[in-house]
Amino acid sequence: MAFPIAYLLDMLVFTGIFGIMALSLNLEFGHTGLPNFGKVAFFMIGAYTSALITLAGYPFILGITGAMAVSAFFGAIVSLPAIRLREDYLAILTLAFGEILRLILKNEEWIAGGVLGLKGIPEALTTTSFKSALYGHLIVVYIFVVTFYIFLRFLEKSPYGRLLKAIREDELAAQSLGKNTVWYKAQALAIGSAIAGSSGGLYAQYLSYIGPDLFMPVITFAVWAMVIIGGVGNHKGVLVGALIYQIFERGSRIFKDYLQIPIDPNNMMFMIFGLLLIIVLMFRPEGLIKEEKIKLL
Amino acid sequence: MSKIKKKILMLVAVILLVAAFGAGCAEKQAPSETPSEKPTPSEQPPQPEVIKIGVLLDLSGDLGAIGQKMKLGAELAQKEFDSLGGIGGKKIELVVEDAATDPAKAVEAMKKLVEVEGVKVVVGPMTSSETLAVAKYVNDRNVVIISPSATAGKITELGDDYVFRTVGSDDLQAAALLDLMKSRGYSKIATFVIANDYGIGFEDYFKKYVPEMVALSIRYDPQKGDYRTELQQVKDAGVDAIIFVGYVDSGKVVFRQAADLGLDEIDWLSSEGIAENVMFEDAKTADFMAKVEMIGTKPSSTGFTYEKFAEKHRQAFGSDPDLFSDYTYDATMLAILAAGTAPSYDGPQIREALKKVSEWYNGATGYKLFDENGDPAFYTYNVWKVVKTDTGFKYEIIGHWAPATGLELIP
Amino acid sequence: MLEIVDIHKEFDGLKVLNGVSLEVKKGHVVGLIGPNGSGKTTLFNVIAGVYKPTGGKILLDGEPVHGLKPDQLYRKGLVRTFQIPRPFRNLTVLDNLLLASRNQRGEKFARVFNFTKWKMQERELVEKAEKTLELINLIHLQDEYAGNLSGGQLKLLELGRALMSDPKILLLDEPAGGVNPTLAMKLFAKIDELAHLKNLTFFIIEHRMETLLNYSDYMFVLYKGRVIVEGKPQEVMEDEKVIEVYLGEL
Repeated sequence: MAFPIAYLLDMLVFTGIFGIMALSLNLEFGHTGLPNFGKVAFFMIGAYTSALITLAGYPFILGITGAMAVSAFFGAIVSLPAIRLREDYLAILTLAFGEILRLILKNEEWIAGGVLGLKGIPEALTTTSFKSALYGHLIVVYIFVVTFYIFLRFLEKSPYGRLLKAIREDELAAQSLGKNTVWYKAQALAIGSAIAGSSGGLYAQYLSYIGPDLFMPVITFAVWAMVIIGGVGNHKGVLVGALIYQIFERGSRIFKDYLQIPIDPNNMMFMIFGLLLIIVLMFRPEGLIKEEKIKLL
Repeated sequence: MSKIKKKILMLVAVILLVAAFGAGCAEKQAPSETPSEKPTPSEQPPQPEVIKIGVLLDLSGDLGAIGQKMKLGAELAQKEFDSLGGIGGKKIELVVEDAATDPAKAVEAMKKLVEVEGVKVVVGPMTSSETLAVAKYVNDRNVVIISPSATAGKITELGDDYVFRTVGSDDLQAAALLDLMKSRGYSKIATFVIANDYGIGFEDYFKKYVPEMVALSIRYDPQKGDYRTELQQVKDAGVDAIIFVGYVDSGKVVFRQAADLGLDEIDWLSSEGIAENVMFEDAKTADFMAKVEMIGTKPSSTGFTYEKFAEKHRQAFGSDPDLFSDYTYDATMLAILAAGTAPSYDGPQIREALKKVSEWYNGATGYKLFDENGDPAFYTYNVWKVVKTDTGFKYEIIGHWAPATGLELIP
Repeated sequence: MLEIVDIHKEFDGLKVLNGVSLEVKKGHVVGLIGPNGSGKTTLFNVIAGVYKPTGGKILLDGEPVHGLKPDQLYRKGLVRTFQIPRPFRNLTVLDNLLLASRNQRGEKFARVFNFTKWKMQERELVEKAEKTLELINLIHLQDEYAGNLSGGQLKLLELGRALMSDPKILLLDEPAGGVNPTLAMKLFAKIDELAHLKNLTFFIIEHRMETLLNYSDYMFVLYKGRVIVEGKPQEVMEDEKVIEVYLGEL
């Protein structure tokens, strides 16, 4: 039977998965000021690592742990040459890294199935029916969302989070106050990448299939849009941003059935969303939900 | 907010807008659709006398232009039944969704078709990645899908499930090409394939079955536009033949550059990707193809059923059918016949009905009996050869290949 | 305390520092004056590790420190402020000061989860920061974003941050620039007091030498990348070369 609520629940699962990505970018860019334009790379590393681990017969929790560890490793390594320099170098480097990695995975079958990717990835929970599986996914994904949200809020309200923000505000000033900013930036990218990696792992087990075509650079920009619209620097905001993005994406698909529009709904969604982005940047550059004033005690 | 931060945010916004604008421009090239053909579910609540057929094609993105034309094939099938008053008294409604050349979007659109529209049989998706991405979901939800254009060999492995396709696997065509190669007695070949599932599928097949023959394998990036280094490698490798698998745009460039390098001493073999007359629009390319007497394979689309389809297509839309629109037509016909003859509108029953229907259906692309993997069981490839005629160039059919009969060359 | 020996600095062949040598004694307030473009801020940046010198030596308590990075110098007790204040704008005034403290262990990721410990430390540090804020007359703004402060207040904040870090030697780049004259006088009085009570060492850039007159123990005059005159403030004021340099600027 048709099960319209499933489309809604599916949307919430996607919101959760991309919400985690948005949270990780918020730690990197919103709090530390690091413009990571290779978000999709760490998403992809997480997805492939977790898929390979679970396909080899190991449990999901090991897959996710592996995904986080490998993503964190790459997050730290890739950024090392760039974080000593200005922010724009990091942006270019991470952007290139994402595409190069995707092309490698596409062309080297021995790593993970090449151009057609990996199929039959085991799900986190074994369930009997489609409905229970969907609710299961929802629970699993939101356990991660809530855990990361609490973790990141805790970090934000700690001297560590305060220091990251200081680096964002003025790196030289932070250095002059004795902070080894390069080391902290590497840490922030490692933590952010680990979180993005877990999101990739969740994505892989939810779709049960991954291939290089699923990890186009547009994902990076979608995550950026979520963060900008929701509120740079506010973890609650970026989750709202992720929800808004999904509503736009699905909404345009539903609305085209009721409204006659001269252009393809998929393109229209991009246009309206781009416009929304410009409007937000012009009239409310801090995003829908502003960054909070934090008190540690 | 710091200056750099503001700059970065603006950059993101601009990139998104440019992406949207680019997509919008690409969209304009595709034929606009007639508004009256739009499904309007708001006005038509699902009634038992309407059979819903999902159509999931790439109407935007990289393959948007092709997808828009394939959609015409589906519409033609629906029109035919509607002019007869539907099937078994039931009207047919096409529910069209756009997969946007993106496997993630394909999954999302498929979920909308199934969960929101209640569709049980879907024509699509177009690409192999999209088909692999939706496969688990449609099996879980017992929804039949019939892809008109996903050719990857890997789809065969999905096994006894709800995934069918009206086109043959690349593995089949690779087998045809291999027989052709063997008939010519090559001992060393080079593969020169486009770096996507289509090209790599062929490369893998040859490497798997005749590893000793493949002296050199090159994958090319269609965006690159300069393949002289790679072609020189082929020349230096001293092979008997080069197997080129790609599409027309990059094919033209490769052949022109091969001509410049004097790579006409060896034999050239290719596949359906370039077996189109547009190749001959470029004189140098055409000359080269004729000079090396290029041969290759392509799915058989001759015979009176195809001509009948092409005629109907011209009548309805005023244009010749394009790549894969015949396969889309057949997929839609099969979907309608299966849903119309199944005892109820229910996935497993439609699947059984589809298998029965496929036993006798003879469509634009011939008989469509499905094997146990949901692939077409009878599949014939034509063997073509480029020849120069008085009026120009053409692909002359010099033989056939089918799994049962093997290679048969016209003497 | 701080010894600078024959420091050179070139930018693309442009010689900005041309063999600067000077010494800052412990517990002294030492002034560095000179007209615009004489290389004062560059010298500070070289000392503070922002630039690497092209030649020469810098010794802190007899130990060579040239080529070290700002954060490494900070850990050795050398702290600087900026001519144009560089506050953390989207953090509160209080947080700006707290960030300057040396021993908040909660800044280490490995210890951030031991929150009972860092909260305890935080309480002590807040107390210390509040005292410092009282000293620089910013206590009423402690929960305000630093970005909302006026130019003079930012100068004070810079000084406050520097004081928070328990430095051995403070490098202040025009601490009184943009601060109203009454407050500037108070500020220098405070600096004088700190230097002599707590035995802190100050090395201060000032563009207008009059301000430093009453509060510095020793002065160096920098001109075209060289120290041209040094001595007690009164002597320096009366030196012909200095008058010439300053008049020449006018």
